[in-house]
Amino acid sequence: MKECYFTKNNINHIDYKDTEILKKFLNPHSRILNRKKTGVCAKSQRQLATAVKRARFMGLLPYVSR
Amino acid sequence: MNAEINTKDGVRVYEIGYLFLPSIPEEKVGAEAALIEELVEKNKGEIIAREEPKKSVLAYQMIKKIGSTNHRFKEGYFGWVKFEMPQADVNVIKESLDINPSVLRYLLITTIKEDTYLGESAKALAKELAGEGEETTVVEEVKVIPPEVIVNPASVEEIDKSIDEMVTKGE
Repeated sequence: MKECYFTKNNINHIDYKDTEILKKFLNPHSRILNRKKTGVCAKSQRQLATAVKRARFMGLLPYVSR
Repeated sequence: MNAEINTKDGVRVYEIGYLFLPSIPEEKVGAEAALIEELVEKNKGEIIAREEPKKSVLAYQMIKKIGSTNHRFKEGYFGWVKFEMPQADVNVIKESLDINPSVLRYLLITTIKEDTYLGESAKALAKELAGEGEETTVVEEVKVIPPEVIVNPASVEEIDKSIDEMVTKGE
């Protein structure tokens, strides 16, 4: 089992402004990767999804690409 | 997300992320940000953290209706303020941001008091995540090599001695 990236690095709150991290959890079409692929725990995956959607709204991340 | 409410007086931690229109000259952007912060402080808000707006290219084209025509923007000044405020007063902030002509878009969210924005250190973390596959192989290699145990075997004489000792003890 892969360890959750966010609990490993002690990140309790995923910020939508940290786009460098969020980008790692998107596929080439800028869709959010599923939990099977990210290996992130359920709580963090929910936070991650919210953060990505917020970043998209503010134009920091694209809704679609390619 | 993990929003904490101070139930005593209903004080909550909020964050405003805002995008200013790219048509504003660079010198005046700081003043516009100060106006938002003033507005927060006027409404019993206490600023915890902030970042100056910086010009950045948007991930996609945004549309804002100014007057009767739609204007399209590919750039904007992105900045943010984090503050504490009684729940009852937040709507005032919302309404004034809605009518602010220099704001292209804003995002008002509840958050936690602790610093959540990693900023520059996020890049290092992201790199680490990218190189994770390589790292695991290195760790495995280290585990495989415990040769020091084998390199220093007891000499033949030592073994003979210890056997002799055992034999004599047994007798």
